[in-house]
Amino acid sequence: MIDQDFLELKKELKQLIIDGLFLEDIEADDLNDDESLFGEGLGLDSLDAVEIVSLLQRNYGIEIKNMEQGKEIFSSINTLAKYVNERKN
Amino acid sequence: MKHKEKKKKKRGNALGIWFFTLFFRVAGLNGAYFLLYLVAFYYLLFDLQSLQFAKVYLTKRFKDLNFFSIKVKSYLLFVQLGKQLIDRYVSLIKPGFFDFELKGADSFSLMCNDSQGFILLTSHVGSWQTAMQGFKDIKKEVYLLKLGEENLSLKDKLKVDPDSAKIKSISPKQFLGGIVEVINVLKKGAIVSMMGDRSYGADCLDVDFFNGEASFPYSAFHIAAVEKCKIVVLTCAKVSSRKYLLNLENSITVEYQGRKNKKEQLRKYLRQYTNILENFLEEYPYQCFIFDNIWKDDKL
Repeated sequence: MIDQDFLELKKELKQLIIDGLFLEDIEADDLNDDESLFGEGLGLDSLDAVEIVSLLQRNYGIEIKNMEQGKEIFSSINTLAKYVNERKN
Repeated sequence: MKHKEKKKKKRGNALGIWFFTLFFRVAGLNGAYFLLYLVAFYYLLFDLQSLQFAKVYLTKRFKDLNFFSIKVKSYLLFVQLGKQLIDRYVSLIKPGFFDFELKGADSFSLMCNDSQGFILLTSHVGSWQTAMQGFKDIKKEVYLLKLGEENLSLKDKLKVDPDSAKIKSISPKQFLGGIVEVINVLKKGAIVSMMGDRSYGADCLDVDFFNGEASFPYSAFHIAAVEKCKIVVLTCAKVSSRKYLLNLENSITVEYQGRKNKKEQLRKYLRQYTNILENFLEEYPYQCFIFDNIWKDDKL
């Protein structure tokens, strides 16, 4: 895995989330890679989770099927990018 | 808000179904209904939990009811529910026994021929389970988002769980209440049938419904907005002893206006749905089988 590619993927995912969820007043660079996407971090909720699931399917053809898997994947941009990267390759 | 499912008594058993079958075989549908009139009277006297649920609905729907009116109307509710369970069983052992008239069949056929999936919103008004039989012959795959029936007698005899290669089920007891799988099959062009008035523990919104605020789950509307798919609201009324009217005319298109206050934005679409239910129950007041207290201001 090339680090630069992984960094690009994280940036791409951040932008996808910002655009897909219509997040206002926030730039990709403002999002911390380790920050929690839900709850006290970025503050997304279950409605947003559904949209992220849909965005991943639409843009990368990736399906998330079970609860434990979803909880882990959605914990931060880093975990999300790692998951997408593994499925993309 | 989280809507808590109240633990309910199991009603119906194999012996009871055997008696109804016997009466049907000996004396036809009216014979089975005759037995039902007696059984419904037993429930009127002894099933206090059902009476409480019935009372909440009836006092909202009719207003200003006295003790006697509530009892009479509760009896009519129990009889209607029983009739639709009997009809369900009869239609399984004697396919073609009941006539089904379809409203909105043309637009529904067009949607079925489209590659896009859609949500079929069903409710505990009228007989959605009987209606489901009509979906075995359509081109699309149908998925029901529902828990398996816990009452084994009803499960075996009335086949309340899907049993066809075309009709499959998705359990709401998984990640995000099964929503991920719902999205997967919608993308593949399937029809997903969801209960519009049963939360299965999912988040709900309070909306106006028959002179009170009642809790309804909103996940179907959110999925429709995200997936840009339509919601078709299915109602199925028993209009005579051997005829049902399936109405597929009512559809709802959900669209978010920006990201802010999504839940609040969904409220107006939920209200469209409860309007459809209210209109149905104005016409068929005794075909309401929401045996669950969904109103906020009535504590049981």
